[in-house]
Amino acid sequence: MDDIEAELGISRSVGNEDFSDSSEDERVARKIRPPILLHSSTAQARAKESGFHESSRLCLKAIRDAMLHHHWQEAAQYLSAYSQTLEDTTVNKQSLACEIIWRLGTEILQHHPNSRLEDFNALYEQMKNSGVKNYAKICLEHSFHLLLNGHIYDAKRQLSVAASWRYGKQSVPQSLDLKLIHAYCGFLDYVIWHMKKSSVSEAEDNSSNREMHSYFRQASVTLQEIIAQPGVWDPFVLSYVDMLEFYNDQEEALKVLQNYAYNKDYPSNPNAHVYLYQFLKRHEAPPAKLISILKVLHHLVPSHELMQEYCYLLVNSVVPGHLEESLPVVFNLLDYPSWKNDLDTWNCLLTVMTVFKRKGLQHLIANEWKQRKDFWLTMHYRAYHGRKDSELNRELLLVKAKVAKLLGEHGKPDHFFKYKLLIIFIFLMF
Amino acid sequence: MDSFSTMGHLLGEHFNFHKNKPRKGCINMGRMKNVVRRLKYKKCEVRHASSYVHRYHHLLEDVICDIPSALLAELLHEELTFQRQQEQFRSDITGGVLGCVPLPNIENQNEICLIYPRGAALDSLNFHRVVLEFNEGKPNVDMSNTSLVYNLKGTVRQISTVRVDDKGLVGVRSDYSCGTWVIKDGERPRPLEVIQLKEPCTSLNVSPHICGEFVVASESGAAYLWTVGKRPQKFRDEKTNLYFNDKSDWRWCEFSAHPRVMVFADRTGAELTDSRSSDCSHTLFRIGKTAGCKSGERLIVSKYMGEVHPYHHLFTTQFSAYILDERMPSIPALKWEHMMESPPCFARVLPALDSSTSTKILLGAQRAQETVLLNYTGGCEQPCQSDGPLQKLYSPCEGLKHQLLPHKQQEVEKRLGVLAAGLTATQSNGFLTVFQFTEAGDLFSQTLKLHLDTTSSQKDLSAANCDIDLVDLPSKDKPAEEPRKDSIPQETSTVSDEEQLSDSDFEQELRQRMLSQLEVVTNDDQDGSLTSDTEVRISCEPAPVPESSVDIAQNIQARSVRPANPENASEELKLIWKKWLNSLLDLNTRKKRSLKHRRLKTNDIQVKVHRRDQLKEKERFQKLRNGLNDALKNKKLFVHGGSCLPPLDITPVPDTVDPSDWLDDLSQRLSASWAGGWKNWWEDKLGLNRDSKIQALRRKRRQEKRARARYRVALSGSFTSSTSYQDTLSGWSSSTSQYLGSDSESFATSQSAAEDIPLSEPETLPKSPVVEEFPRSEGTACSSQAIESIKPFSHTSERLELDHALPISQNQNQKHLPKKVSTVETQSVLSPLQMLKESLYSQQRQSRQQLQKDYLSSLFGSQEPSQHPVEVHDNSQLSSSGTLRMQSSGYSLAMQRLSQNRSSSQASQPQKKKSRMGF
Repeated sequence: MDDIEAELGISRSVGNEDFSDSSEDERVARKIRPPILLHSSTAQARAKESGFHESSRLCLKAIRDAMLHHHWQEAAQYLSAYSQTLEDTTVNKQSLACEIIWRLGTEILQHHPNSRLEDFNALYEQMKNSGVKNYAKICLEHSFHLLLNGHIYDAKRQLSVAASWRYGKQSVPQSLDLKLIHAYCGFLDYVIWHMKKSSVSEAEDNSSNREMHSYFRQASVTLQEIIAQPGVWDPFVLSYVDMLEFYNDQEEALKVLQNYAYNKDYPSNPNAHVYLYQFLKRHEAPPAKLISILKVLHHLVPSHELMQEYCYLLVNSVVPGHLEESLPVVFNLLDYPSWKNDLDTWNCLLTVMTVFKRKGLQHLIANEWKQRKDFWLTMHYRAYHGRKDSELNRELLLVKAKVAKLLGEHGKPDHFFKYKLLIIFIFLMF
Repeated sequence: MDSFSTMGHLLGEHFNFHKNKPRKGCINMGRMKNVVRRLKYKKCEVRHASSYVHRYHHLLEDVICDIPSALLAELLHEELTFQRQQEQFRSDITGGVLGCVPLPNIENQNEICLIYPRGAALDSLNFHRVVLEFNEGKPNVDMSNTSLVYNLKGTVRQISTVRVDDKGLVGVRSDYSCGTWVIKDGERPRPLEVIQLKEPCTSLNVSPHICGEFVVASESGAAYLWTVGKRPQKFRDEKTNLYFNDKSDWRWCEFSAHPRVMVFADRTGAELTDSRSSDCSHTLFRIGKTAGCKSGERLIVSKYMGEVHPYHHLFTTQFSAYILDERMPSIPALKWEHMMESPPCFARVLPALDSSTSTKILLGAQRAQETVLLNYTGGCEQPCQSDGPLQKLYSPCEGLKHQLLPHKQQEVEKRLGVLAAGLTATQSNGFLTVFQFTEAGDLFSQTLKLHLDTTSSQKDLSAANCDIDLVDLPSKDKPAEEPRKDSIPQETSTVSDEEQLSDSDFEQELRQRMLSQLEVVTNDDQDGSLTSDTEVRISCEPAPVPESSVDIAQNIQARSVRPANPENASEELKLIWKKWLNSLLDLNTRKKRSLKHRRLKTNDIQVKVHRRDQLKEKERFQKLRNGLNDALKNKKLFVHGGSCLPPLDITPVPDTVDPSDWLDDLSQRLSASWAGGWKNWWEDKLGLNRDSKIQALRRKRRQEKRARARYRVALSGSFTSSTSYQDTLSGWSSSTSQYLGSDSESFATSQSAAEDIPLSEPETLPKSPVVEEFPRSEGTACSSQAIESIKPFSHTSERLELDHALPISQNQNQKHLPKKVSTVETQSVLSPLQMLKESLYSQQRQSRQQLQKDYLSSLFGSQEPSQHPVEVHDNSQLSSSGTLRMQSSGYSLAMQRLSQNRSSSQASQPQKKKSRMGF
């Protein structure tokens, strides 16, 4: 709890330079807050401010309050008054005011009952001119807004205009924005390609086919370029792979996916492995290959739903040592409370355990059990669980009972005493 | 012992060690044992003075410090910095002290158990069963059940609750200890276990997976997994901050999707730590590395969102709220900028009821009781998506705006506006009930209605309208509003792609409800008088909304942002509010009375020198005050003599200068010029007026001769016939009266001039030693008037006037009886004056008489020379005139009598001189 306030001071001075766009999946309509709103200037700073600054500060506060209480019309009125701050003579404040008006304006327009698309366009165009620093970001947001309203071509045009825009020196966040613009440009090409593809498949038309291919070329060039840079590019990778698969370029697709999954420069991303696995599975790769992918995935996310498949693959594998690996996998899976009522997982465990028992590998079961018995008993085998399972899923109760029987051979018999009593009681009842 | 035994035997018989049996011939050593026993202890060398030392210490501890001032300054600085930080943000109540455990539904009743601390120090834990009723769509929070109270030893800092399987588990964190309670269905909450820590703990969280497991983090950086019935097991000990040095002591521990993997967090970030192995941890959230993190951002609180998504965690910073998937660390699944002014340290996550609704996150900050509601959808199959703009809930201070008298308003605002200390919420039947808790121990609740339309497409218009209808159902003028609603449906739909009521009607409803129902539970009897806990509940139900929501949307511009005064609040509400207010104001006044100061006796060490004098002084003042009061009461004069004040210093009147003693020219000239005869003197001296003098002398003699001759005639005439006498008398009266008149006139004028001052004197200077009495005057009405004005004894004054009138006429008519007249007159004048004098100055008669004598002598001293010329005249005229003699002697007699009774004032001295002039 050191000096939050001091740090805030730093952040205030730094301003919004380092505001980077949040994840791409996020909707356009995310709430954007101008940083100066937080901890509005201290009393000491206020002592010096002029009447103009004071009234603009109060106005901003009123806008904020109105917006937080969803009084959009009131906020709009205040905002129209707030546009006076654009006439601030200090450069710093003027650019800040631009950003504030852009962000608040779009937010208010979004929820204002009388807003039209034309208003949005007008606002965006004006803001692009006055807030040159944020040009890229405003363009990106504008195209998102158009996309949401179904104007894909307009959005595409906006993006391509923005992509070719250059102004002064590029700052780091600006280059990031341009990268995103580039990426979405390619992505929209893909979307258009996809639309064309579905229409083309119905009617064989050469011209439209050619158009589609041109879109593919555009999209593939930009996407390839984007994906080559480290980052999380899930939708872009998928779209690129989709296009490559359509043109039967499996090798390139595999290369892209493998790079995406195994390149150390990229942040660890379990989805990359899942995509690779799904791709290989689609193309009927040998189990050994699948196992190797899932092994990495298991290391990353032991609770992943693919772990059941992994377990079955391991059990059915002929490679020595694979079978032994399967037991921890399913045990790990059941460590997670999210799987604790899943019948398939318990079935999987039962299968694996019976296989192990048949093959005389009970010491491995004992080993796994030893690590877990302290919390498995309270997590899976309380009387309450038995009661609840008997009400909701009697099959699960049966499977769990069988597992308990197998596990009981390794621990003290009284571990499952209560649970067993309950099961006997339940079976006597029905 | 052996070495001494021989000696002991030898001497033994000479010593007696029994206390109560003195023996002869022995040395009694009864007290020896005590002395020996005390030898073990170290003696205090200044013990004999300790009591004095103590008193001096208490008296002077402010001035003389025990700790060196340099060190003290450093410590003080540290403390003040800490206090300032505490003022801005208190990290120790992160997580909040309000917990809520849902109880199983019985007969369609939603019951929850609220857990919150009460008492002046927030040290008694309350388990309160609350029933949420939803009759006909109206929510009602019933808090009539009495709460179960556990008194703890320390202030409650955090309450963490989780419902695992069939039990509700409650973890309560205090500064150095943590306790756990369990709430089983249909049973009373019962305590499970308490642990004590060596260093202050900053976090306690209950495992949502396994019953009876807790995770505790302490300031030193240690994290423990605590299973009830077992010793807490330390799984992590982090001496420094995780990623960079933030100099912060705050640590936080949470559970994650795996029951044995914990989130260990501090201000710089959060790590996932496997409690089974010591070195297995990887970053989950890191300031500066997580995408979208700003510099200067700090982690405020983290929360495992197990009931929403098994792998999601919520992290809040001063600027933003992040949702992170622990499978994909450092990349936020969702990020909001929460727009709060102070860092949010309370968080509550409410899972989506079904796929069509959104998950809600409530963030609460301490200062200004800010509460913000965030909505998002997705997470499992769909990516996370924020749902609608964030919304600020009304704080108790904003919601309860009543018009009050300013001082009460201030009191109420102060009470309602204290720091928030907790936040919890529960949702059921389409209502979201938010409970807010403040540090003063007040609990507030507000209910929001959830809007169940999912998308903003045109199809859902009807649904939206339906909802509004539901809300509007009790409204009487609903049919009238119907057509209008249909005409502008778009307005309602544009904002309704979130679960909340559309902005306008939601806001209106909230405002209406805020003021529509408020329940007060006062329990000042529970913890004694010090408890300042009153409990207010604002339950917000969809009360009859007088206007249609659409109507409101139209009129929105005309409305104020803040809730209006509760003009339309129900009578019931007003009563309840009044009750709460009274109890609040009552408590405040009572608190003031109970303040007591420590008293320190310093009598012994005070210097006693002036004590007696001071006491006397005090008594005297008291007397004086009493006297003054009495005088005021009785409308009497308060004079110096009446008081017991010391007599004032009397400045003695300087001795009168007798000009006869100074015979040199200068003195004589001065005295002459003083008397106004400077010119005459010079003329005398230079002999300029010799002729005129001689002439005047001659004239005088002539006149005297003539007068003698007439007198003889008159005298003989008187013997001859009485009638002729009468005639001649009348004939001569004019001439005698000429002389006499001039005399008496001069006297009278001088007298009246002298009277002017004494008149006022009795009032202004009652105790002046110089002016003792009223001047007495003979034969003038003025004096009588003066006396009358002072002492309105009507009877005597009448007599006085009579007496005066008589001598004047006698003076004029009966010349031959002046002596007798004058004596009668003075006596008659004197009698009331005597009374006056006695009544006023009876006490100091003695001293006065002395004074009178002094003045008398001075008077006569001054009068002698004035009489002298007359005598000279008399002597020069051998044939002395009886009347003149008689007159002068009569006058002198009168003067004598007068002087006996009066001590003339200083002011009467000029009169004296004047009279000399007249003579």
